[in-house]
Amino acid sequence: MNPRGDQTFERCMKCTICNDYCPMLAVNPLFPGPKSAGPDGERYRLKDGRFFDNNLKYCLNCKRCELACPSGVHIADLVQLARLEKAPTYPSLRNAMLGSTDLVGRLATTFAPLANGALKSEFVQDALDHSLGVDAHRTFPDYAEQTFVRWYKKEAADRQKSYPQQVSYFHGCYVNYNFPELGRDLVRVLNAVGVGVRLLERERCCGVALLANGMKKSALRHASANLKSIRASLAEDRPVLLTGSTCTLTLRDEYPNVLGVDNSDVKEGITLATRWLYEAVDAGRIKLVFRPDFARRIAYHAPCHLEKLGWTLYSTELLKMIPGVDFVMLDSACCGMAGTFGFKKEYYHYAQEVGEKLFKSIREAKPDIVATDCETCKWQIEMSTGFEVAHPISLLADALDLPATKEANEKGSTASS
Amino acid sequence: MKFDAIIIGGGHSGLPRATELQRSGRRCLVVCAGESPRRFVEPVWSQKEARRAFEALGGTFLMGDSVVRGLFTDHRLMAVQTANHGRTRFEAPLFYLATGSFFSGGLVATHDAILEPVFGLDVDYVGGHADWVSPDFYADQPFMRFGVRVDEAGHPFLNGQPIENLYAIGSVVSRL
Amino acid sequence: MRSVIHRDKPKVALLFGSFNPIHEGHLAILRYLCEHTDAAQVRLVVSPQSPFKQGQGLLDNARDRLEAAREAIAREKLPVEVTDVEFALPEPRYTINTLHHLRQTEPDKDFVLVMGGDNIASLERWHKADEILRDFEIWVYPRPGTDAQPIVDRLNARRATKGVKLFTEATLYDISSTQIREKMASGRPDAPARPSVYDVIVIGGGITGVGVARDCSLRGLKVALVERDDLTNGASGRNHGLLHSGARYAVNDAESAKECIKENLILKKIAPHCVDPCDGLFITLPEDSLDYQKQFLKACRKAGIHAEALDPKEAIALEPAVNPKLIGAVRVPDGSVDPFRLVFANALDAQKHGADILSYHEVRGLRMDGRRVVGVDLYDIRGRQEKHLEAPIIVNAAGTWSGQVAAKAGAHITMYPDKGTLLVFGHRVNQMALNRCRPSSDADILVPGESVTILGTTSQRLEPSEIAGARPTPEEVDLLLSEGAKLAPQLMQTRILRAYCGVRPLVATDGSDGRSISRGIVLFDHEERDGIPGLVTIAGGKMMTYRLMAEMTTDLVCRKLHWDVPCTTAETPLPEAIVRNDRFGGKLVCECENVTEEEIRYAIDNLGARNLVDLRRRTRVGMGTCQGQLCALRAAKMLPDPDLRGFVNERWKGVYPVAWGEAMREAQLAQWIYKNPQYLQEP
Repeated sequence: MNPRGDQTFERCMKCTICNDYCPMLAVNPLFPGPKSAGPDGERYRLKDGRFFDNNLKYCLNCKRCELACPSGVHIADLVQLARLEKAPTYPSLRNAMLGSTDLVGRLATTFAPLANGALKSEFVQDALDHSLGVDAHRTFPDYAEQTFVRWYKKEAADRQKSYPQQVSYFHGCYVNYNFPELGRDLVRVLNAVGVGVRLLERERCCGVALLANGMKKSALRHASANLKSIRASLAEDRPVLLTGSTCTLTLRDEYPNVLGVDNSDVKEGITLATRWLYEAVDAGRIKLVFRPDFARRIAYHAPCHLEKLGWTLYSTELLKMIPGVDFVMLDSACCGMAGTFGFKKEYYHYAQEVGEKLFKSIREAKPDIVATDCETCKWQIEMSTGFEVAHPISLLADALDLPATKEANEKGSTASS
Repeated sequence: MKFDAIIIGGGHSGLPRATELQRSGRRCLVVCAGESPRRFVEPVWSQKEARRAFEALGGTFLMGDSVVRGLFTDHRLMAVQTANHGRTRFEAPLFYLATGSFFSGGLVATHDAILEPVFGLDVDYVGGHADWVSPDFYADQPFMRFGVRVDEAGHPFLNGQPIENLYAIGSVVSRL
Repeated sequence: MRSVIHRDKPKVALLFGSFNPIHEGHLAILRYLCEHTDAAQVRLVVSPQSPFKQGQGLLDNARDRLEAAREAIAREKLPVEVTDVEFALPEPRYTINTLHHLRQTEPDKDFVLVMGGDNIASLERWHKADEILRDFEIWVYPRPGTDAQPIVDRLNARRATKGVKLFTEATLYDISSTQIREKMASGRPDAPARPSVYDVIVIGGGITGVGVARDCSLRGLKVALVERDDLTNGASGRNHGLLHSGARYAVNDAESAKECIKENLILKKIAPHCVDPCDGLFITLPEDSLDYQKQFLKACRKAGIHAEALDPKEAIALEPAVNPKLIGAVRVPDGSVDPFRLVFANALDAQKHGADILSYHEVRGLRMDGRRVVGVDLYDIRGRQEKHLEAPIIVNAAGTWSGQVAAKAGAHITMYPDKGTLLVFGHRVNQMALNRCRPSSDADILVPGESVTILGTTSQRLEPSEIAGARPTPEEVDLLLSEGAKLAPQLMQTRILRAYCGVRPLVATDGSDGRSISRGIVLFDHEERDGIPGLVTIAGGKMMTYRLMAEMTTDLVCRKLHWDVPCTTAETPLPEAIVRNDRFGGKLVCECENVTEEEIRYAIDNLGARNLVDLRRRTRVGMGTCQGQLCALRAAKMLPDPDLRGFVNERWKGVYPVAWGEAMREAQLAQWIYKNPQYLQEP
């Protein structure tokens, strides 16, 4: 048995189709490419552990190789598993910080105005660049003064139980520490269609940043806590909704495939908010009423992990429902950020080269706003193109005539009950 | 989710058929497991371009996904479920099976039999695994012609019964 | 004042001699000078006549000696210039005169005088010795039988000596032309005076043949090895690769076991680059008897094999792939050996010591002088010509074909060709060799090798006519799978890359009617056995014991040639013939097995790879999971005569017996690629 557990490398036929789809290989000759790094490399690593190629660090984990593979090889998983095995016991300070989104988030929000001001100052950026290796070009997202959880407990928690349907919301680090308005938008939308939003009894960072930075033990602790909470939610008939596409992929796929944690009893209960909403509309369980004056040209970018989930169509179909929307589907391409990857000085220029194709297509599309479900895509696109980026849920919240929607759903629910 | 036609397999046979249908005004869904190996036979055909053309017409293309279950009533296929979409049902009045041959997984050879893995349709093949191959590589190879049995209209069979709203096209079809 | 910049003049090493005839000892010195000194150029100075040795010699004509020297050096591909500068100089030709002449005509060079340890003793008696010592650097190579160090020290202590250097690392051979002439003069009245006469001809390019060629050449004999295909074409290229500890034979055949463990340790010492000392486990399953394990342990200890009984839990911890149902395990010093590396290493060493390895040369007949074998009639398949070689002793090491070769001299050997089929799995499933602790049966050895695992084997007697067409059968494949899964259950889910078979060259030991078949070593001296002098046959045995077989054979050969030189193969390390691929850079040609363009070029230029099948044996191209799918096309472009069709069919032979699952997918991809006119290099 492959000690790391993934046997799918055996199916590789060396057709090399994966290499065609890899965005990193296209810009970086040092990267061996999915075929070599994944299934080929795995046979060598099994023969002798010293065959681990350090250049695997360039893998973005975008999973596009897996989408294209005709043989069903879990190429990207093989790479992540090998990297985890070879990761140093103690990560560098920078990697530990980038990996620990919860910890850094909590500290930064406590001192938000200071932190935000400091992170914008050139001096601090240079210092971070030189000391920790966080690239000076990178603009940090603002930290919120009040976390989403704080807001929720103060302003929203009490009334949620009154709604006829209930769901749980796994908000993730981004919504909590940087952008609580997205969380507020989701609560507004769901409440308007008669769905109450509850938090999990205990939520920790999904762990994707920990995994990317080789901190497996911490990731396992987080996974254990999260699954416990998710099981409790499902036991009370509340599916778990997310707005972040990467958190969704991590909880559903990375937990079993990379961390080796069994989540088969709860996987079906973890879903994306846009998917849940779309299916509910499609089945006639809820209604959406839109404002007549909402008119926007929206260019949609499918995050790599959402493509891997295969759920892009839910986000796009929801947006297409809005009558005033001039919808543009951007060519599927990786933005290059890959979570914490793009922050790191040594990878910065690769991240930018990878994303250039996408940036160009955005500039050509000239949208009013770019829509995407992934927060790091949002940072990357805003920094690299200057265009504003919003989550489909936020656009939905904006485009909905919330009172009319509320009315339509209350009428509907009394009629059907 | 409802569609006018669902095409299982987005390669050299499935994608053109889907594009044709989409162009004629039908809302189509293509479920594709991976990139087509057509490039090894005909390097000029580009799946990426064909997909783009299909999507520009409004078609929905699911990449890296595969149909794992078919829901039948009598001799009709009512809906399918895929690996990525769990319990979601994709319904349509019309279905095409264009999953290809062995390489793309449209046909599977086990130690004892040749199978069609999506619906378990009836497959045309001969003998045991020693009969599937010729010892001379350059001679005609029997396995290259195995595939699902179809009637004159192109409907494949499930346990001897043709499925009236399902068509099999491309290399998944038997040429014996 | 302008400072003068002294640039060191390039050194030219001069080896003087009559070279009557040129022999391996001279070539060894020249090789050493080319590879291990700072000489920019090496010249062989042929003397028209040596002032010390008057009027002797088989090759008295100086021009003949010059030509012979040139031929020998060209054959060895040495960058040495053979010069006749002395021919034009006036007599008497003293060395000092030649040196002065050279210095005058080529003032930009720094000439160095090279001589043997025996000669340096007489240097002071030479004409104008003082001048030689004062003006020219002298390099001395050691000769067995003389200790040159004191003389060299004394010369260096003199005030006016430019420098005398003694090479202490050169391993050179105690062969003098005098000895060779004596040898050649005895026994064969009409021996031709050409260097293509040999002391020994070995027929067969498997492990036994190259082992014999190596041993003979290390002892100073001039050897030619002839092989009708490529090296390792027979059983040597189609076995398990198990480096036996001997444990397998301990219970039933203590002698074999003792031989095995001895050779096991020797091979680990002399060929670490060919051997993976991964150890092995002999496991007892619930259906086997633990009593046998007790017997087994006792027998191993008696044979000197280090055997350690393990608790099943310990065994599983050591080897996670082992069948968890095991009730007992014994750890032994098994290992895995790369047979290709081993064969090529022996061949390379033989060549380094003067042997000629002639592959693609078929033995059409044996040359007879009455009942005595005196040579071989060859057909050079590539050069399309007949060749004839002569030697006082022919060694028949033709493996499965030994009977056919012996028959050409009128000697009868009873052979029992026995087919064994093996499976190659897609990745290295187990880290230690796994065996069943019970009397030997089919499919009970699982050996890890490089990045794959090999399972074997079966046993089926063949008629001689069936050898050429032997193929793995579906029944054999099924048997292997079901038995193999008992060793490591994971095999049932592991992809099978290919099936292959080899034919064991089993020989009947003498005095039998065919019932006793020997897996042990069989050495026939046909002079004693059949009244046919000049021929010996070495057969049976295992790859493991090849060195011992070669030693026994070479001892016999030396006795017959009255050549009293002992065997050193147990102590002398084998060179690396197939250099580990991470030393080569360049673009990857075979991605499954990490073979680069540079490595392929090395194999073509230095290891004699002509077509894709040769290449596969020497570099692992085509041995990985794609089985040559993609790399064959790339590699074919680099080869002079790729024979793509032959290669493809060769690989197909191994894939179609296991054509289901992933192998079927691969088979289809191969059909598309190799039958697509766009991709084909040849029809």
